[in-house]
Amino acid sequence: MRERQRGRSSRTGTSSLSVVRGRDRSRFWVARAWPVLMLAVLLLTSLAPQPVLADGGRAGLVIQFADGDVWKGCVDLGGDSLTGAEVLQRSGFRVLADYGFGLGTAVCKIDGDGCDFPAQECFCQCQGVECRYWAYYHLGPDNTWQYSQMGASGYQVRAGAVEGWSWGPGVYGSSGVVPPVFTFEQICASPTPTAVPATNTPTATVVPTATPTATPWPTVTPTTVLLTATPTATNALQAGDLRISLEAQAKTIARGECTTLRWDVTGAEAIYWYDGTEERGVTGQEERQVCPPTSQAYTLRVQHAGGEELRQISIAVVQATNTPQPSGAPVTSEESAGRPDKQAVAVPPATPSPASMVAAASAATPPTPLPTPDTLPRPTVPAVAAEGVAANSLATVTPRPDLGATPLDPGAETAPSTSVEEAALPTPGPQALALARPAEDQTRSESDGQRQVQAASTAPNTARGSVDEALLLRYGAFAFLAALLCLAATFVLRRRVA
Amino acid sequence: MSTFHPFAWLAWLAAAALAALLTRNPLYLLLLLLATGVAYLGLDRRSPTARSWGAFVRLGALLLLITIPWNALNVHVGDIVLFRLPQSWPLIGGPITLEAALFGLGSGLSLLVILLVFATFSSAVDQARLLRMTPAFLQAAGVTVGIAVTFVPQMVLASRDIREAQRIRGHRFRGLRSLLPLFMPLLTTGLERAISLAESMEARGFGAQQALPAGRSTRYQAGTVLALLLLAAGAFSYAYFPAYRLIGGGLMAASAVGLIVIFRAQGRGVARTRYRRWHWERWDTILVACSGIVALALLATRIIWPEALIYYPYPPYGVWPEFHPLLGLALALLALPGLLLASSQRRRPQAA
Repeated sequence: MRERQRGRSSRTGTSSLSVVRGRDRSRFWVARAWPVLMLAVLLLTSLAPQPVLADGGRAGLVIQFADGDVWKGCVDLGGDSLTGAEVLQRSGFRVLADYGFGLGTAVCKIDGDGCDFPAQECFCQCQGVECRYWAYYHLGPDNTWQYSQMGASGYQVRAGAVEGWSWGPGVYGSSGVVPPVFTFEQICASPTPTAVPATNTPTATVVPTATPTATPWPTVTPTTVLLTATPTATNALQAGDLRISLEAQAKTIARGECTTLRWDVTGAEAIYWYDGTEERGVTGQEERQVCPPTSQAYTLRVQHAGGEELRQISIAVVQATNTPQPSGAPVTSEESAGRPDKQAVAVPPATPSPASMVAAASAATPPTPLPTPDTLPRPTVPAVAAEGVAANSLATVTPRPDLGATPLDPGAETAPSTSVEEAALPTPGPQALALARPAEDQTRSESDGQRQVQAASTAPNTARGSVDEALLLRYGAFAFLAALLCLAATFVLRRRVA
Repeated sequence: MSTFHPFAWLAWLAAAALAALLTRNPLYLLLLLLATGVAYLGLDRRSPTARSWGAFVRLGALLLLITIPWNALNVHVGDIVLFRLPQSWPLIGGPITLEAALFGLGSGLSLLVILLVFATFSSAVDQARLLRMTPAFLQAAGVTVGIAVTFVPQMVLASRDIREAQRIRGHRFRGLRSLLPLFMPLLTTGLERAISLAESMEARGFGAQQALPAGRSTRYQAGTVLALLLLAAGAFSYAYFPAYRLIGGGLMAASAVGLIVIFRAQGRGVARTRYRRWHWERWDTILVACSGIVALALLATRIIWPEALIYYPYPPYGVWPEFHPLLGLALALLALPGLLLASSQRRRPQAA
């Protein structure tokens, strides 16, 4: 050993340094092994088998608004535990929250009650610790509400839990207005063999505001809850050969008329048809005759090897004497499917809630303002109901004043330029623009394929991933200013030395 | 003209820092970045502080590399999912969304722009000029800070000498233990320099305090404490009792006025002789007016229409940032110092 060392050292010329180098090298690797070991331990613990719930697990959600309306619904947890904030988002309401750099989520506004974050502060109705705010509760084992000690993003909701949110005065951090008690069984009743959604009963404290034309909407669980009905036939699985087409005989019908919806799906494992009240399994080639009293969206949910796809079609119902709907109003399956598709592809096992895809439908439907109009009772699926009322009485829709939206005037651009530019609030301005451009929408509606929601580019605030033309112009102004500054920089560089 | 009056630069700094602090919109911040770059390019960049611009850019880029992943990994909110981490991972598990990354980008850019604005200011107004700009009542503190700031590059040079000497002797850097032979000579060198500088300054009469009449110093101190307490009370009531915002704001304004009065009174006691006064020129007025316009426009936007400056990409808001050309133009106006300096420069021959 020593001979070998001496031989090596005679080559390098230094005797002791080679030994030192050997020891250094081992210490080098040992020092760097610790973080790798810790990372390996972390990975191993995360790969431990997680208990997978058989039917995905559900949780109940109760929301009590400022005027005493109570909404309750059953939320599908999708096989994993969700945070309280995510459960609230799956209710389908418009939730404004402060996500604060990952240090916790504070819920500021749910569907019109609360503070417009970030234009206002999140807890804008607080005096010190005396607050009117969204208090967060969990239903305890003795069926009483317990004030949550953790925030919405810190609490993991397990299957069978019931969450409660209520707006009202209280002391921030310790008390608030307690919502009425509903147990999990009351909210998420066990399914019948025909896959009836969990909650179909109206809530207890609904204040019915009568609308002249619309029938009161039943309370619907907006998320896809239960699919215990097996599909009656499954197509032979052709890997990668998935084709879906969904069409309607007429997309705009007069009230009292009927139309036929037809779909043709190949290469799928399971297909479910959701007609606004219930979801059931169907075969690949079918047609249905529907006679909706008001505008209705129908969804086809196709499960295949690669994940899940959603196709949606909306039937607009008009009064016989009204002027015909602008053709931008009905949403085709191709337009609205872009966004849920993206979600489905990115998250294969998760079930995107019909609320989100219905919201996408309403996003692509120009005349529908996203906020729930005053004319409806509150505990409804906001987007579908709004769409229905809007289709029936375009001129009478008055969005809630606290959201700052101006009343719709079909065919006229009423929104001033400032409200169009506000990215914070949905405005009907760009949607009114859409009414004035029916031809464009028509060509888009005939097109095929996985089209992004660029078709809804006329409503940038309701379709989040798209840009409208006014915004593009402004981006052009930005590019111009940036180019101007670069030119100025070259000018300055040339004039100065060093 | 090679540079502006220090107070004109201060006005520019106020406007630019205000802009960088008020918004997180990446488009506005990019424009502000370019404007700051133009202003920097107009300076005489041969001074050593000007060369530290590169270090500030690197520091800002490092900040961006921290804030974007931090926000993306911690906030799991958004519709556009980039990829997913297993839910069981403690903090970072869940969907990693584009919205969170964009919000992190906005915050990181804001920090970067603030850094560069201050770097430009320190390149334009070097230590000697800054020292002369300190208010009279802060004279002693200003001198101390000025000396401390000049000590840092001296320490860097000294440490480099020590490392070179050690390497010649065969001493190799082998981890934290080998820092000790570097640290001790550095400390003794620094102390030696400090003591010799203090002796020479004392010989020149620095630090000699003017004897105040009895009681005046206690009155100044009591007044300062009272004014600071008023400021704290005003800030507390402004934040905690939104219904009494006017009272809170009034208290804060009153305390600010009181502090200014006390500081002026204290400053009148300090006798400073000035050599080579800075002359206020027309360019300085233009720069101050321009910065004033930009600052006023930003404050007005913040008060009247705050949504224009806000960038919040999470649902239900949109991912695309808003851009208003007038605000963008106001921010681009902050490039004025560079343009004015360049245009006042006669074209030098290439050999210079």
